[in-house]
Amino acid sequence: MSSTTIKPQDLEELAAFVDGRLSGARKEAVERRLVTDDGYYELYLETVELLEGEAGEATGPAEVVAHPAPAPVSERRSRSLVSWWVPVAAVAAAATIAVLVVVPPFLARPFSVLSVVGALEGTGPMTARFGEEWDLRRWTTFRSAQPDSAQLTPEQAAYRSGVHLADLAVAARLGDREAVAREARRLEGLVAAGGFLELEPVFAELGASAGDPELDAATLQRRVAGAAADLADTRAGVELLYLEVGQFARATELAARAGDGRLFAQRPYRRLLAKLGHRQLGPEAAALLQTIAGEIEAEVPNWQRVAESAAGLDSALGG
Amino acid sequence: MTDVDNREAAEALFLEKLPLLERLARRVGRRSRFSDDRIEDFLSQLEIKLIENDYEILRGYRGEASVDTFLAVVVTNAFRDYRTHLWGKWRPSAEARRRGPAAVRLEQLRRDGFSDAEAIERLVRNEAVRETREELEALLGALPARTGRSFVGEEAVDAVDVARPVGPDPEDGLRREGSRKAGALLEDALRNLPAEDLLILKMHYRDGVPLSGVARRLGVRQRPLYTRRDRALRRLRGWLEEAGMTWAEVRSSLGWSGSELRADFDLRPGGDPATRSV
Repeated sequence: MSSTTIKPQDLEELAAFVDGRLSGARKEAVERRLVTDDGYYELYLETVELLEGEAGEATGPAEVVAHPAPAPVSERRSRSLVSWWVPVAAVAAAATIAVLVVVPPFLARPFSVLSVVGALEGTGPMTARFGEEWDLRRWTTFRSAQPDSAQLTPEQAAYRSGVHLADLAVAARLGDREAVAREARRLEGLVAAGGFLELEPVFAELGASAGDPELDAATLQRRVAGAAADLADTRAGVELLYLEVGQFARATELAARAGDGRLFAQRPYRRLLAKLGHRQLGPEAAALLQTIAGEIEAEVPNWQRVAESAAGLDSALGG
Repeated sequence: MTDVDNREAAEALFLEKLPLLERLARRVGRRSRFSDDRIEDFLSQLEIKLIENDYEILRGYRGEASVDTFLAVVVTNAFRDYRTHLWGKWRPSAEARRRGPAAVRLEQLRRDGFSDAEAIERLVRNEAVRETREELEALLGALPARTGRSFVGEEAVDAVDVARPVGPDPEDGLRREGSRKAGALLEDALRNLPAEDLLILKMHYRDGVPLSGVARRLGVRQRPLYTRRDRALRRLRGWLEEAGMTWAEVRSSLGWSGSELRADFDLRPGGDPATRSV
């Protein structure tokens, strides 16, 4: 281990790095020293930890309880850079609006079940909301029933990930922490089996934090949203499509089982339904999507039929 | 830019920031499980340090960082000096380093006064380590018992090469040669990486920090880090293969278990990034 003397002028240079104010050669010099000089590296880590604690406390007692891992460094940076980011943000906002005008909304970003499950009301255990058997699914994904996630094709794994992601999001929405932890563990296994090893710690961390009684519901939901975004970010093409179908199918099934129509009035949900209707998912899947679309438009929807159609997508996708 | 180039301005800054300094000092002290008396002692030493030579440290502030961050670095650095003065220079044991980041962290928490149960609880709940409670208990059982604080001189520590096997092994000559070659190639390859990539790899692989934690510490977005890490690893492997060694050969020569990078990132001139690794 190497450790060299830290001079007074080094302290401000390191502080400027922590604030994100260095660039070019000066930034690289600090980074290289952080790699080679363990004393300097430890000073950096301890400073960041100290500032995180300070930022957590500054948000007030309730927030401290809510955020054992407090505001990220990036947030501190944004505060210290407030003098110039305002005009930059204005330009960025204008650019974003321009992009949204010319890019169809469903192409701009992947569907996230999290954007629609907020419509589900109430709190409490999943079993109370969706029945004792909500978790007892019989996988037939693509007409195959392998129980071992290591044997799944990438598409099957993506579909199942989508289903578990929906369960995870709904459980977090309802505050069922046991279910959150369980679904996070399942997703951890799925991403590991799929070779997405970098996502393992994301879900491991999420599963562990679900059991933390000091973590408030809003923070837990934000963490679920972050993990879901990470998962979507690793998928592209057909795998992303199946991830979305999995989320859609499971969210639909759960809402229908609870007889809760609010989910189906959500614009992101309807956009995804329309998008899936245009994809080549096979005639059986297309018929089921039509059934769902018809029922949710009906004056008195048959929720049982919606739930069965959504669950049927699992076996229909290989058709 | 906020210059504090005269005594009056420095004194005004000191008085204005005194509540923050006290808060920071208490926080770092509590984190190391110091008693209230000990924290008060540190606080008084910190204040003396800031006041001496007409507020020299504060007068040196050039306004290139926010003043609160600057003071946080100053307080942390002063506390590290104070802690070293009290405890001596702490280094993880060779056994902990051999067993990986979780073992090092457990030993560090023991140093900071946490009971074994508290240390395990903290790692599982706050730091989301991969190891189960049972595995962490086993790790703790394997770590050498340390009686009180470890007082070790810097020279003595630097003279110890913790992962080199003790005693000669005549049948191991070829493997040692292969290991030396792999270590040198790896060092060259690591040196070619951009500094920020190296820092990411060091935090992630050497210290076992998940990429979400690396992102938080560096204040960057998490998602691009995955691509960045994978690209850096691909480049490393590519360079090593160009130099005549496959990744598998490097791992085997250096005795690494698993498929991950296990280097120690000791890239000083004459340092050895690989031989101290597990």
